[in-house]
Amino acid sequence: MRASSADSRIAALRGSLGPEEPGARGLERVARNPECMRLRALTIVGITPATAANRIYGEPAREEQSPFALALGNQFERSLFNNSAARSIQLYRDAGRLTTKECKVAIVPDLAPPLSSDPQKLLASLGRRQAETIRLLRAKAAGSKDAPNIIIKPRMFVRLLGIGHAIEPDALIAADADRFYRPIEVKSYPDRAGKTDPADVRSACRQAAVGVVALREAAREFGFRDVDLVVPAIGDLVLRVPGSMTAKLRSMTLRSEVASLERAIDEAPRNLDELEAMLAPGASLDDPLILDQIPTSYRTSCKEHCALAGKCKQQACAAGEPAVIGDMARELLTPAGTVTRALDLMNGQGVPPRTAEEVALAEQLQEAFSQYRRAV
Amino acid sequence: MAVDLETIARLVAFKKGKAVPMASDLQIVIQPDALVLCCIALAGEDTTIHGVACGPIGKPAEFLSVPDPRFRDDQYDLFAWIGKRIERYYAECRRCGTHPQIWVSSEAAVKHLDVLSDRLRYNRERADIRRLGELLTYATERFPIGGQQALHAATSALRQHYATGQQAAEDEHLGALLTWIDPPRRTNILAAVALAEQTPMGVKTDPEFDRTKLDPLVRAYNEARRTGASAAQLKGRAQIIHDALMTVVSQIYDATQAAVEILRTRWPRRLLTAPQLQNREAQEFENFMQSRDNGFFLPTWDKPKAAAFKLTEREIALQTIEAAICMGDRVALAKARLAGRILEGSIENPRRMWVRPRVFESTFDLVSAQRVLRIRPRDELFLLSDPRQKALVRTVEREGRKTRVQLEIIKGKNAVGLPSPGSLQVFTPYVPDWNSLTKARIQLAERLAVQPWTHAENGAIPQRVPSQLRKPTDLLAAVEALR
Repeated sequence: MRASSADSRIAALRGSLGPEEPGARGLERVARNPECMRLRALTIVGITPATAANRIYGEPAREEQSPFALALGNQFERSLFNNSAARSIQLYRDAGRLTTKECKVAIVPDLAPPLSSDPQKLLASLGRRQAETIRLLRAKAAGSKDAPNIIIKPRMFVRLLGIGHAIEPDALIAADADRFYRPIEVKSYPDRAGKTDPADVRSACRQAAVGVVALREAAREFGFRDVDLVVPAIGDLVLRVPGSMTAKLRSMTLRSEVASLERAIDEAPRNLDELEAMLAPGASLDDPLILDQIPTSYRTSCKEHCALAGKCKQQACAAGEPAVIGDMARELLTPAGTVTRALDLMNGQGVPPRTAEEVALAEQLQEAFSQYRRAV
Repeated sequence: MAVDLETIARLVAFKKGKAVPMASDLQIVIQPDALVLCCIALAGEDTTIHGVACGPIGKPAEFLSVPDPRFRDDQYDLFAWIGKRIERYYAECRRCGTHPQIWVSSEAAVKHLDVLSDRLRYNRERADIRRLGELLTYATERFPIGGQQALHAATSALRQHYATGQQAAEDEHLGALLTWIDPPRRTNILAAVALAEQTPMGVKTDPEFDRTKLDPLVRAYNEARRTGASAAQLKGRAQIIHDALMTVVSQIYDATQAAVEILRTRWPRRLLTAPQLQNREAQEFENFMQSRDNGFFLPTWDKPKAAAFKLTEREIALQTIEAAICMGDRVALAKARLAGRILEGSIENPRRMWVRPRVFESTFDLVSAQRVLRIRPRDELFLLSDPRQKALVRTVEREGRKTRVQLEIIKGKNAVGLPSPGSLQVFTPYVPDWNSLTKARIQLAERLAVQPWTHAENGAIPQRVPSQLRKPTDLLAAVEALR
């Protein structure tokens, strides 16, 4: 009942735009910048930032990934999962995580009809994938010895406002002795140990964390009580050795990623209420003027993951938000609120400092400015 | 959290719509014969070079590209082409007793060279490719070391000298950074920067360009190759790819040259310690090349002992360059003053007391108005204007908004003498010691002569040996006394 009520509220907020599955990427995006109300609102109602930039703000659609990189990523994934995931099994055997007898593999897309452009058939196919995933997970939860060790492309759900948002982790892994699965995230990023790009690792970890959250929800439904122990906040990243198709396995602790994601999900009902309270009755987010009203929180990292970063930057610059000159300035200049006010305080112009915090900030700014002027 | 100088500079730049200086002196050494190297990789294939522009600073570039870097032979020929130029340049530097210097556009380009050097130096198929990997390793291994002059990213070098009115991460786009430094007239700076950001300045082409232009061209070339097209046809298709890539690469090359030119012409004052930086780099280069000549192997991962040496080298280099810049650059000094890393104030109560025959104790108070101060009793500080004098902090007391620090001169009592009352003096915890690395290496070699059990293979935990020393009654005071 609650779900359907939320569903209709969400549909009304979405306006003329059709629902989109945010996927693991979309959900992890919210956890990256939890203070951004606009991003949370769009994710809750099922509009991706790319669609918002293109269809609501009318900005030209931009490719996020090069076809060369996409082709390489697909090739790497195929190399791991083809031939009944022989290379993945070998990878886990080499790491001592699977024995020679543990080689049961289930490829969920093969258990369902192929995806079709016909919406009815597509829904049926996706439904079948979901049903097959549940069947396989249930087998493991029941302790069946036939439960697969690796499940490729399972279709799982993360519940947001009572509505399940589908995600498809690359794979799940469990040895026979394990009580449940853990997610595998495959990325074609080059694995350079300590030199691996932190932004790449961060994004892969957050996507794996979405898998942990989905697995925990599934475990709860299967009657596990100690879900945190059954599905620990651990994920496996499979990256590529630079310049080759050889895979490297790294287990990552995802405690903070999972915690931030769970917090974002828990806050969603309150976010929906806040969002509706913020907007005029009957307003929907497909209107750029309405979307503009929803506050953002522009950060340095926004460009990494959000298609609306450019738009938010423009608005932040127009509003003179200190974040436009850096995250450090955003914290330091909080008492001033805007860059213009901070400049006034620094130059001793405009309205005199109104609060004790502004007085302290003005003193610091003036001292630092005099030092700067003297130095240059 | 105290307001730092960088935030102030960014505020000023935002208001002006133009980058503002963040240094008083040129903080790097620009070699007159430095090499500018701009490579473009195929997206996703980090160990490839699709197109490259290479040339000395202030000179036009030589270009080369391959139609598809996934064809190994073509790719190796391109590597060999680069290798030949770098080998020639290194040999010339060695002959002149100087060091090489390579300029790239951004830190992304540094990472690209790092991946390449890691990959190529173990190549088993061609010796010239392996040699290129080794030569590049010199530059990429030096990059994280403070004060190094072997490899410069244009963005990092400019950021050392300018502050913009945007986020620090956005300064990594060379085009945007140059726009902030030389903004176009009668155009909104933010609009101009947004436009500049459309041009790729890293090591990859724009995904949109890949989809609409490069991918179809590469596919067509591969198809022609697969169907056995004539050499002339293949050459024609390769030329189209070359032209498409060169428009991208030449823009990066020109921007990198522009960055070097800005630093060369607008920063006439060099750091006082520039010759020491050059000497150290030349020594490191000669050591590295000598090691290659002697046939030593470059490992993928350092063993514990080598890692300890390299870590120490990094720490000392950072400390030395920070101290050197602080002594020479007014902005760096102001930064240190604001952050409380140096002590500045007026001298009060200078006194010289007789202790015993020929032994005097020289003390004075320094009253500082610094808001933040990171000074503790027993710290040893050097007089910035004459580092021969060293003083020991005896007490630190707050007096309203001021801080009174009592100091005792422990070195340079006669050579420098007591500071005169009322004079403004600056004390710093570090002064550049260009021989400290050698001393540290000797000390490390002694201490690590026997590998500690923590790093030994199958090293057993040694048995506890009860200490023969008497346990101090006040443990905290004993620890403090060690400082």
